[in-house]
Amino acid sequence: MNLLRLPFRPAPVWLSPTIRGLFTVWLTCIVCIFANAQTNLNITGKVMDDKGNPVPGASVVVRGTKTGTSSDSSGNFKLTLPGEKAVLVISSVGFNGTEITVTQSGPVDITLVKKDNTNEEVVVIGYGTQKKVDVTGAIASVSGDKINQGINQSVANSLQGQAPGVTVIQNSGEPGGSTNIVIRGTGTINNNSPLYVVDGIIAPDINGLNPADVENISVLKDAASAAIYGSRGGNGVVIVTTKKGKRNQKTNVSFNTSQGIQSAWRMPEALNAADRNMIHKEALTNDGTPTTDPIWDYYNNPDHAVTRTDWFNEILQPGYISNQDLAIRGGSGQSNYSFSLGFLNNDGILKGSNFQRYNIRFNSQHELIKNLTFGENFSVVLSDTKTAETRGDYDGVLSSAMFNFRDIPVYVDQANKIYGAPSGDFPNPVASLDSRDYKTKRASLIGNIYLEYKFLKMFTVKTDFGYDWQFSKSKNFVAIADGGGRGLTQNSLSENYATNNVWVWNNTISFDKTIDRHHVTALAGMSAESGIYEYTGAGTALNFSNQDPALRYYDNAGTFPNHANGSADDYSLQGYFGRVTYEFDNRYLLAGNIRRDGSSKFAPDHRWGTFPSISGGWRLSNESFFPLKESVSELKIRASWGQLGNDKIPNYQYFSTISSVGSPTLNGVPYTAVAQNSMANTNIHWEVTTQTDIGIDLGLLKNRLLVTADYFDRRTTDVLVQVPLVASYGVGIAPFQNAGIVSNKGFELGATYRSAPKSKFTYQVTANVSSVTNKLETLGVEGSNEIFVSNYKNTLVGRIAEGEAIGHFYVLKALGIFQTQEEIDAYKDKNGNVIQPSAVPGDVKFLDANEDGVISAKDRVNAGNSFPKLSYSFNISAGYSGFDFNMFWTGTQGNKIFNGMKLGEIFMQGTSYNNGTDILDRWTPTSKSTTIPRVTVKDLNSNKTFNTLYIEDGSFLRMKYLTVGYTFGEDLIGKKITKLRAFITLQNMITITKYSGFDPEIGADVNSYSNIYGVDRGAYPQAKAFIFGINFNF
Amino acid sequence: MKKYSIIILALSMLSSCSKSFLDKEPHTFTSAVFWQTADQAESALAGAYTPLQGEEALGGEEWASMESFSDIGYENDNYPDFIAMSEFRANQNTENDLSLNSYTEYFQVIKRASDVVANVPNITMDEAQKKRILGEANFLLGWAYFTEVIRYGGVPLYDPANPESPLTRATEADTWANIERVLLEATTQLSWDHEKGRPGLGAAWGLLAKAYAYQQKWTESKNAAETVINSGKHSLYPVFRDLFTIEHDNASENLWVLGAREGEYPITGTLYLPNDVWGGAHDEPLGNGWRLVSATQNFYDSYEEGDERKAATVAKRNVDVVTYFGVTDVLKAPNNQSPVVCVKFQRPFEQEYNNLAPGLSIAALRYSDILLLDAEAIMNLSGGGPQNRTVPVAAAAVPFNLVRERAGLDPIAAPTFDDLMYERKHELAFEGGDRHFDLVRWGLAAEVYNNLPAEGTYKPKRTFDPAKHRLLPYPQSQIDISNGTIKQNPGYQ
Repeated sequence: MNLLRLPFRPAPVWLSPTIRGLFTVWLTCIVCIFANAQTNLNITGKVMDDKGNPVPGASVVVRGTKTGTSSDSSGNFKLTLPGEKAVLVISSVGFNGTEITVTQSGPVDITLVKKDNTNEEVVVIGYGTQKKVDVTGAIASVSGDKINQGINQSVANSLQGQAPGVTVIQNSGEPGGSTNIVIRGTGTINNNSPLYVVDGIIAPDINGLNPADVENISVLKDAASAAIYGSRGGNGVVIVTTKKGKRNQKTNVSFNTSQGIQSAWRMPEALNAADRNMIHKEALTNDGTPTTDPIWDYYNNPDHAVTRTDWFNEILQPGYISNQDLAIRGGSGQSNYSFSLGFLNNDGILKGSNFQRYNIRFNSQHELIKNLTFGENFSVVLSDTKTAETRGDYDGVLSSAMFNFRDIPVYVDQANKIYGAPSGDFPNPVASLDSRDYKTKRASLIGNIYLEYKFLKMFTVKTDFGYDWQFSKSKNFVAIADGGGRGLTQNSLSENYATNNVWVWNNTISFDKTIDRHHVTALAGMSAESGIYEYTGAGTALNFSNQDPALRYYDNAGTFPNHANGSADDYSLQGYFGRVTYEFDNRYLLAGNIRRDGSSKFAPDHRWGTFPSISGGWRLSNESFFPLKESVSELKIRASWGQLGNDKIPNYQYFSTISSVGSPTLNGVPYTAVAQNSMANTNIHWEVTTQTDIGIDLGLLKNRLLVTADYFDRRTTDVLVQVPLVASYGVGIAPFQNAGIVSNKGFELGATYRSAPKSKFTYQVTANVSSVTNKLETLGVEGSNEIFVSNYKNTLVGRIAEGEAIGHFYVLKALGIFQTQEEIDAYKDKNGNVIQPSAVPGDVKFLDANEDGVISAKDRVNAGNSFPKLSYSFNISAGYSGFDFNMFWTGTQGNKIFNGMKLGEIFMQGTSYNNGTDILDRWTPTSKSTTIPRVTVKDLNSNKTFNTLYIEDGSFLRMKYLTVGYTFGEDLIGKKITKLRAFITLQNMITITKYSGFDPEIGADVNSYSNIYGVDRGAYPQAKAFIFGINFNF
Repeated sequence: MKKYSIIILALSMLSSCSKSFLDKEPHTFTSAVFWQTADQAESALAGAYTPLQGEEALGGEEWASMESFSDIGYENDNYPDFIAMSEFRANQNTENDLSLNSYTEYFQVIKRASDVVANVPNITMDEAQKKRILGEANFLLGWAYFTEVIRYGGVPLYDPANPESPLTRATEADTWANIERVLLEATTQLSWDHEKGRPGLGAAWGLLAKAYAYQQKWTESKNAAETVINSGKHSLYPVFRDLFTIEHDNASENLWVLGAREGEYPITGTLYLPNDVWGGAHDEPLGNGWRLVSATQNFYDSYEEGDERKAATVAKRNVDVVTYFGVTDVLKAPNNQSPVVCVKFQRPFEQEYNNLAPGLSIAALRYSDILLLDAEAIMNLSGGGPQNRTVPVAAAAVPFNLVRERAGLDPIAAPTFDDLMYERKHELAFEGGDRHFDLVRWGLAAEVYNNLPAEGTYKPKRTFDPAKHRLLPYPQSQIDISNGTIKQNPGYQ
């Protein structure tokens, strides 16, 4: 009878087995109650949060009994109790529990206050989630609101400074520019990028993600956390969870828009024409150039003393950035969904650079039948990038602006588009921007579908299949620019295409059971993954008779490409993994992981690797004997150890391949040519990273002050080293060997202090600091203990060497400037010979590091590392009566930059190039500089050889953003709009740095996986911006 | 249980196919499946030609820059380390990409040609085609080793069967012996007729004549040179300056050329072109020329009256009339250090052009070189030679005067070695640095260089020490990478 109408509904899936157990018991009691038929209290009630929103699924239990119920989707509950008085205990996940005493039947309203969520905070871990208090590894969890400030172009950008130990390096300020993430230091001389996992599916990068779609990012830093990803987790793991709709939630529409204006935060200065004449004539005089030499004619021509152009003004413009996103999310009893659109447009501060991105994301979950859930994620990203060339040694627009004479006009004849011809190898920068039409289009479709079934109250099986399709097309057209200079005398078109297809299939079974004070979880699974990358280069077509942008297609070329090329690269990976965690009485935590992986990159005998980890934690604060319970709300000590693999080397390294090597002209036509261009090593296997981590989580002042600190020791062995080969092997690519050892040791500290709950004035201050000491212990190969990298103008300025930090600069050491001939004569080697006989006063004194009596490349020294010794950030946010304030600063300390621009700024690159204004402070007999040598073109002392005068301190502190927002009250905006917020952001507005170049945030060198940063070739600088935005919720 | 069976099925699917699932083979040939067909042999041979298009190889920067070692030319700008070597000031050959890249490119030729020689004999294919392929590969090997030995002395002799072979330098004598061996083999495999860009018998015998001359094996050199001369397959192109045009760059005088391709390589002309020809007097694309190497005033003044090669090779500022970019006028070249520029490879730039690589093939070996080698061998066999420079040798007159008369000069009935030196200097100037290598092999470099007064700051007074400067310093990186198994040349640190 009544039994059938009892409010026994399918339990919401998130209810823990414990609570479901309670239901069963309660059911039994109800039966008893009916049997006894005593006087009852008929209670109806509604559970709401402090804002009046219903709280579904709250548990309502009579104190001291197992009698109770839970609230429905509208927060309502109904309870019939025996007796005349009862104390109801109401609780729900994420809220502080409360109690009320009921003495009569009828409705009661219960308000639950949102818990200060520290203790119940859930973090995303590999193939699952875990309560934060149960975590035994080093995991940084960053919430979506930190990521989505409405002002950042990419998720990686907004991760900068948000997690200690996670170094985010923006490769440039270019619109749509890429970003590198390095976790806990440079672990290998190969690819250091972490593994990215988006909604459970491995992704090649996260550059295309819309920050507005991100719910949470978890960064798995230590071996124990990342071990479940085994061979892929050696460089750490970044797990992104996107926003989902919630069940029983009415449709919520949100729309955010922001518009901003960008400008360069600083510009270096080049000499005007008259100063240039003065400096260059002084150089010619210093060199004893005969006055009959025609070169003087140029400087004596009064027309060449007229300053006509400020090249930086000509190539820069106010940038414009616009960001829109629209999201619709909601859910019914059995389903939830989320749909979002994003559009970003950025006209960069360099003329002609532009980035546009369109995002579409959809996901939904459906409980098909009880306990069987089907779901999917689907995302489309389309982007268009128009690039301004900044990295080329000569083609770079910023270096061209620096080094072109300023008496040259932009145009000789603007009507006919005839440019002012450049003086040297650097083209007219305006011509270069106008002529180089470099465009890249990208499209990606990423999706996964999954099916999950829960059974026997403790098991969950899940199968998840993901597919990732990416397409990119780049099209480079160079138009002839009349008078534009080098590289602009011929038109050409080249196009290439690449597709990347990857599928991943994960199957897991997990177990979760609490028996008394024992909580055990377990996971077992398998993963298979396979991908293929295919590339087509369509070749270069020349001689377009008409350069109209509409006609920039191969069909309209005069000379057609004679050689297309194409290639493919595929790989597969297979893994089996397991995890067991055990928690006793909220005090003792223990977790173990194991993964066995096979990779197609290694020969069958060396393919499989096993990667174990173990970790433990002790929540001291929950011990009965813990003495400081009043002041210390949480104290946990964690320790972990584990081994991970890394296989990030190119495919097929164990094969000796014969591949296309260009095409010689034989009998007048291009001939297909192939050669063995790499040597194989069939014995290569996984790099292994062994990491130990000790950490502490501390909550003080009722968790108003939270501190997390970690120390780690990360050691990578069997590092795959491409052993340099002598050229007489005749192959370009050396084989890999498992040989090197790299160690990284460091600490991370994060602290947050926030206002007391329920304060009217809320605030939160967060600070992160981390430091890592990196060392290449050995390359492990005979005959070579160093690798030179980073070619700048035909010289390798970077080095990776044994016993030193990876990726330092390696140049001559300048000891100063010779002030007198006596100093030169007195600078002798051990045999009494003058070391720098060609020097004259005003030249650079170099260190004879190897003491062989001559200054040569053998005297180069480690001139400092590009990787910061210390990274730090702090964030202050506050709110009061609708106003919100958020300020974020980030900085680095102890990193060096190789400022390639100095070559022309303070040295004479030649008489065809302009100089920076710093050269005005050069050494002269009357004004004896100690930092800038005399000017000379002949440069018999080789002052301009790359030396420590090029190396600068790259430390900086930058205010990444300052936002002030106001959320309008309901009375102002009516019922239809549930939220209306307006904000103003200042981005990159303050930068404190000693660095003299365009910008201190210089990312990875040329090849974005190279391990040296901070080679300034005139990189696209970060812009400062003023942004205004509005958020609506309907 | 149904769910369990799905999992078990999935598990077994994955594990049962795991072996093949993880086997991914490259989408290019592997050594295991290559070397099967004639087409593969041809493309592997083509692979041995490819490095010659490199920026530093034939007609490239290093090739052109070798002239700065001689008294003919100098390095105008850039490459301070290379300039230090060319001025005999360098103790090392480090941070100098010209040498290292050239060295690397020629060793790629050696490796690839050696692979062809090792593998092609096993391919079942047309025997005539096989012979030609092997002949070309042997010739390329000879050419590459020759290029290296005259710069560095003995170099590693690559042996596909011995992985240690690249790690030690052979002696200079063994390197020469190897050059003779591969070239003699090539003479049994090649034929006189050949496609453009490929060597024929003329090239193989011609290079042999040169290799013998460098070893003072005069009888062998004479025989080799005369095999070319008597074949009747080669002759001098009548107009010297027209030989360096796209129309005639494959004339029979050119025994072997680097096949060129418009828009791609080589950029030889650009390397010599001043970057401002008219000094503002006429429109021109500025900055096209790299003026990497230019000529000395001393060289300009060294031509005999009436030598047609002068105008075809050099031009002087404010004196000579040149044609460039559709204009004919007096050369200005204001930002050249010396007043003289090399115009030998400028013919394709006479008209308005839009390509720095105009498609001019660069001769690696010319018939005039062989004629002069023949004359030189005859002189040495007849009491003349570098130590007897004024002895007239009438027997050398025929090949000698063929070259001389083509240049518009009167024949010499009994030429001396001095006369021969004049011809080689002016015939082969700016074609890869023969002048310097000639002076070194003749033992005359110290005499010529050390007595030359300084010319401006661009050609300072130099001191050539034969014991040390006979060879270039070995590329330092090779010594470093080999961990010292490759040794430096005497006199250098």
